Amino acid sequence: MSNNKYWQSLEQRDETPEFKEQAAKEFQDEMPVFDYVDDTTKVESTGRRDFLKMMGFSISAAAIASSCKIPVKKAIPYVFNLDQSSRIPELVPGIADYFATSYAEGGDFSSILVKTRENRPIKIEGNTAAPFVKGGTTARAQASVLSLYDVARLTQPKKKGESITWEQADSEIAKKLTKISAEGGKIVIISNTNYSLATQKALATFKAKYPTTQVVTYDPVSLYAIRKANQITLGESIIPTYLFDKAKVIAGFNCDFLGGFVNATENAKRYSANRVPTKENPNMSRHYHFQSYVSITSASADYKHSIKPSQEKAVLMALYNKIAASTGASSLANVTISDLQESVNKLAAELLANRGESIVISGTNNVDIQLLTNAINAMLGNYGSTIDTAAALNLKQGNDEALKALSDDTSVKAVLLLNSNPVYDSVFADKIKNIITKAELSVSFADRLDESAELVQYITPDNHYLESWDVLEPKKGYISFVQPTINQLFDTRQAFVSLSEFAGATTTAYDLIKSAGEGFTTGFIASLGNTSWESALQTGFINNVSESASGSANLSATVSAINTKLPTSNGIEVIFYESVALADGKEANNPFLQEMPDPITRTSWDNFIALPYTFAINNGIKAMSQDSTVKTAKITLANKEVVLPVIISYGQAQDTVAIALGYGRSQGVGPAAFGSGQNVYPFLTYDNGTVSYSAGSAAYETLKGTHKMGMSQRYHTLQEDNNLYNRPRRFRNNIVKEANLEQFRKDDTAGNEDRAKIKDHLTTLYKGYDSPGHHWSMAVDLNSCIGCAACVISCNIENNVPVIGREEMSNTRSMHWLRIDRYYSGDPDNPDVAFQPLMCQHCDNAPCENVCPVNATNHSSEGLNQMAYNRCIGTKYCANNCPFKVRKFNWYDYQGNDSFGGWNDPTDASYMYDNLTRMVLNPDVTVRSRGVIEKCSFCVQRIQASKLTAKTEGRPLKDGDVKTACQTACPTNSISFGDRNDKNSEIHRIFFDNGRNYHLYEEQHFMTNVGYQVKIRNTDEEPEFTFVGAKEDKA
Amino acid sequence: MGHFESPLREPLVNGNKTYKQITDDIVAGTTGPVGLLWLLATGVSGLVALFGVFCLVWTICYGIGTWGVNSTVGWAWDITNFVWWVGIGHAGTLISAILLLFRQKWRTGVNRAAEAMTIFAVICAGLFVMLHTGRPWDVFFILPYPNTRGPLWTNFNSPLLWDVFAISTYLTVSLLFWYTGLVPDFATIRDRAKLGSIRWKMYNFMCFGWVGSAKHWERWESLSLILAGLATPLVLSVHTIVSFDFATSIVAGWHTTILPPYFVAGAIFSGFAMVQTLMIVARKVMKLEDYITITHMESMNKVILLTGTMVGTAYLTELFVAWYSGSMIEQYAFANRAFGPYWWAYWIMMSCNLIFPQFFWVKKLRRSIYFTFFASIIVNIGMWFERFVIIVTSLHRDYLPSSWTSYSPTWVEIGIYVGTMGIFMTLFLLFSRFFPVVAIAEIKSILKVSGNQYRRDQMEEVKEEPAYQDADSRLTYKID
Repeated sequence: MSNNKYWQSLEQRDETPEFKEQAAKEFQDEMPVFDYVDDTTKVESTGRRDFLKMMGFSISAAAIASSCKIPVKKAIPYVFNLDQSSRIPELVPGIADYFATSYAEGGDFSSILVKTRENRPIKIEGNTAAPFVKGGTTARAQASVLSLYDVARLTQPKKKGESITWEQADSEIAKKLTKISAEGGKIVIISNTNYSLATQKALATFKAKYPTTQVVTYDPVSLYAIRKANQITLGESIIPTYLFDKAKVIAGFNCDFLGGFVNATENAKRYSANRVPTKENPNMSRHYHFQSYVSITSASADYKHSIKPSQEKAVLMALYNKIAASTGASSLANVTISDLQESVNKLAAELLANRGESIVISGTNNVDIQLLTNAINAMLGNYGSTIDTAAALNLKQGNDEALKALSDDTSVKAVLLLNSNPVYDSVFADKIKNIITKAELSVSFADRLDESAELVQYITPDNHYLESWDVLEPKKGYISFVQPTINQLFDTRQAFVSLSEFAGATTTAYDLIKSAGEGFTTGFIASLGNTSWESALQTGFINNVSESASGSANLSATVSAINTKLPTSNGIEVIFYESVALADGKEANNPFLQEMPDPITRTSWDNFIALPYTFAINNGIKAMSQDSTVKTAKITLANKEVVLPVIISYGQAQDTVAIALGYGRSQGVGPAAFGSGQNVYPFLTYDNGTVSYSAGSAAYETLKGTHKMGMSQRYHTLQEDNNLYNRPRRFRNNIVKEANLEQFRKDDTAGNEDRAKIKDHLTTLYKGYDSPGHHWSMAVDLNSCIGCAACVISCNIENNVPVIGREEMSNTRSMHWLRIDRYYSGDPDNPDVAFQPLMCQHCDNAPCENVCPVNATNHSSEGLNQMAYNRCIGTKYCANNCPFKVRKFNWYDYQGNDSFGGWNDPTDASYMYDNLTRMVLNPDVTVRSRGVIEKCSFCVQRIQASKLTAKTEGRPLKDGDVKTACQTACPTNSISFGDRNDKNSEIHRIFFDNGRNYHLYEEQHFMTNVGYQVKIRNTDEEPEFTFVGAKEDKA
Repeated sequence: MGHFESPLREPLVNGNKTYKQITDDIVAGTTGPVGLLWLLATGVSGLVALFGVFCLVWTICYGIGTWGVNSTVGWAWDITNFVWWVGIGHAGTLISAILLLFRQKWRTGVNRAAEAMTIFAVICAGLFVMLHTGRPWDVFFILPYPNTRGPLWTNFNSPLLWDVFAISTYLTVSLLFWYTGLVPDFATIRDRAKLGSIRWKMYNFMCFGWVGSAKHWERWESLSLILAGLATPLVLSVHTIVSFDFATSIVAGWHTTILPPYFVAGAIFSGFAMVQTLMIVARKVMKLEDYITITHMESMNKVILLTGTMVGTAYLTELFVAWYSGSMIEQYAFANRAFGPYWWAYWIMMSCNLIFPQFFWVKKLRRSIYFTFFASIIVNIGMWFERFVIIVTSLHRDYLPSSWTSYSPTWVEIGIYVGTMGIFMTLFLLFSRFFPVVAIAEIKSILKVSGNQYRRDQMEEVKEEPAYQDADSRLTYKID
């Protein structure tokens, strides 16, 4: 150790007096304290008074400084776990990442892309690479991202209401299972349809460990009859893929194949492919529909006939006989269907003329009816051409008979509820409730305290699918992956991992699906060729489904199996159906879906009794209500009764009423679901091996009470209501223009003839807006729009549209930027239906723009009508002056904005107030404050993002770069968007070359940037717009 | 002002008043103990006003969602009430400005109260302008002031902006005019107060130390005339601009060129009715029958008859134009008005505004106090419904039938409307207690021409002249 002293300066080395003095001082310069102390007290040393003064000052200064409340800002840190299950290589704030995964719920399946921002999933898009569908989803798939952030989700395992750890749950459950299994006690896993290969593997492990296990699969809305009938016809218990795109004639019987049924997204895509005639190819399929209630499918049909559920078999038999007479097949017993015979003859003739190019389809869960459709399809040679039995669907595998057997089984010792809620949605709810309460062990994997989970001993909550790994096989030969898009929000665990854990096999979800993958992919991995597991995961699917259809049917076996005994019809018949929004009710706590107006009746937040028009008028129900208060009625069926509001559903079959399933949930399901509507599952009956979704001999009684209904549309037709007796009514047939196919073939501007004259008269004194660069425009094809409302939900999620609740919906204050207007024409008892999606029309001569006193709404040089929310003071003048009423005002603070303190929405529609729920908000779109107007922006954030991408890539923006949220969600490609200045764009072609294109109220010179294409109906009759019932509606 | 007036004209001041008596009579209202009736009336009005303020605060706290308006009917009672109150204000300006320029002496009896009414009505109207917005705290955005918001500037194309200018100008000019008139009268009250008392100081302050010198009077006369000149176009412009809110829009039923004259006539119509309502009560309670005579009322009734008929003609013209236009939307808007769900509002409007004023062709009814009072109420109901009909029935069913809705008010809206009546009445009652209700200086200026004793003397003088030989039989009044 050396004793060297290092010096810093010469002064230090020399130890000058100056240095010594400086070194002794703490501060180099004198503190200027005494500059602030007056001269009289300025003495050499600090005096007592000065000390006190300074002390007093410092204390009070410190007190003041520390007492100022510094606002606590909560931020979301960019912390993520780079372990195996979080496969995010890097995260760039502000840049969205997309993950391929799958949405599977009930009969609905989509391969999807999930948009995440800063690790939060915020939007669902259809996977455009996926086969069959190529983008497009249902409304439910769109809304499912919000369910991830549902406040009603369970955050950890529970034992009889008490929170426990997973270790405790695993050991206790395993112990009980071992005991039961050892004693030979029956273990039942009740599951809804499950086509997860990982779950199947886990179930196999479970069964191996506990051999007394039995898996019972059921579906709340069952299609068991199809599988049962196909067992006879095809020798396989399958549901085939229906190739609507190859069919020239489609005959639907109580089958909502576009909105419910099974595989609706693919059906819609295929169906619409053949529904848009063009100048070059002026053809479209013809769709007959025999319906009991009005679904979006029957609304899209060209010919629709109202039948009672009990009539369906007779009509099909009549059709069968008619076709059998021509094809030489053996005929069935004669039936008389009186006034429908003519329609059946017409249909039979057309089906026979299009053998192998037609589909006869029924959604009724009745084996005889399914056999009849099978027989007809077989006679027509549709199997292998329009019905692909090789690409069998794995959706809806529910076995009604197995459920029945279970419900009568008294020996069940353990019940595990896998993705199912039988106490709420099964036909044997009471019996299963009994089984659950009596079982030695009952476990539910429910993610919330649903009706069944309330009763079980253990709840081991499942992940949301956006937090999960999985491998699904929705269709034979088609594998779709599920991968997490966010770390688990709560202490939950995937059900198949739990099942494995109960069986003593410790594993992670990823390992399980990897191992499942190795097992299941032997076939697939081989077919992947050079594709790796990772790239398959990135694509989201593996497809080995053959493009060409195959299949053959055994007609004679089918015909001989048909029981020709006709059901008797008595009294009022009730139909229980899946609504487009809620389907079987699994996502009842999704406020976006609750608030989504029913496409047909345009009501929200409640189910209702859909009444036929004449029946309703005869029962004193007003057709046109002035406000949203509707009458209530009581339906009594087999000693059970339900009271619900009544809504006239034009086209509902006479002497029938329809009620949607999926409503009337318990409190544990969540705030949006609780209190919405009534549960009608208890009315379902088990009849001869299948669950029946209709019933006769019901009693109907209009009650005195009323109900405030969420109503988005109170006036249903394009016919003016002038309240003048015996006066002709006029029709605003320039809003939805229609023509039939024959007219269109003669003239591609059919129905749109007046446009040429209107265009001649369009002159103005004023200088309009120039759009020298882009000129964004949208076109909506009224022909392919099926009204499914996927676009509505997609828009809601993309643009942070607030949820306002039942009361505000009943006040007609819907905030939807995009709505789908629905108009009826023709006979009110069986009207034609037209859907018209309506968003801001982005008028180039916008009435809203020049009335805003503060310039909050103005026109961009790209043809957009834009809103500066922060500039808006909320005079609502623009909304009044908007002819399309697409400008929405924030009447209350719907989003729970902090700056309003507790003065939020007094109607208590606080579904979006929780910080967890608000994680779904799109950071690219401003959340609007109370008191401002908002409206469709043509997804300007997407336009900007695409422009930026093009710019960084150093290329001009090209057609298709920008896709709006509504456009990507649309399963039928009804919406086109682009730059009309681009001569090669699709929108340019539609606007300038398509004779069907027209603009709303073009004669008023609004110069809208949204075009609509004339609705062409494939009917022999020309469209009529009248809507006058047999009885004038003066009730 | 002292020009010749035919002796056949009815006197405008009765009761053989001297200048002193006039001062005594009018100042009496501001002195002496506070009457029980006044206290009661002010108390009730004040409570009603407070309830209105509560409803306003409620609206600000929760938002306009507390009203019955919806996505289709964005304006309803708020703008109805706004236009109604602005319209009521019009009589004051018309009386003080146009009638001054036309040298209508009868205006002196009622102009002070009418002007006060104008100001209070515009204050009430202004409340609705502020509070019909979703974010009243940002309402200053509407003013074209230099700001840091870059290119964001008010939109001069918007009639709502014109409205803001029109109403604020109107309020300013009316206030100035009213106050100018009050200055010499304040001095009169001051001079009657005990020197140095609070009362003296207050009025001395308010009259700006008026001493009544010739120079003061000269300047005062000039200013009054200038303000009258400024206010005159306002009578026409304010309601014209209010009507532009509707006329320049594309809503069928709003979009019509007849609206400006129709609105101006309607405003004067309702304004005079309100003056009648107030003055009939005030003259009785404050014993001003000698100054506000039946003649005054009859003159105003004639204006009501004229303007009511003009408004009615406009209603019928609108119907004709709608039919003649051939526009489907336009035709439906008017059919729907008359026969749609709000038919009752339309027919209330028609009967109150067009049919009812026709009774004023009968002289006996014109001069009946009770009938006039009744009619004035009817007219104001009718005019409220006119605005309701224009706003709500036009909006609730317009271009797309899918958006057709209805409207009914909530307690908050009703509360605010009733509350503005309370505010208005409270202000008016305070005015009647502290301010001279009749313009003392001005009424004195017509005494020697239109006072009854002078009229009697004049008759005596001209009695022998051939032109007045049969004067007695031509007199429509009795000289007492």
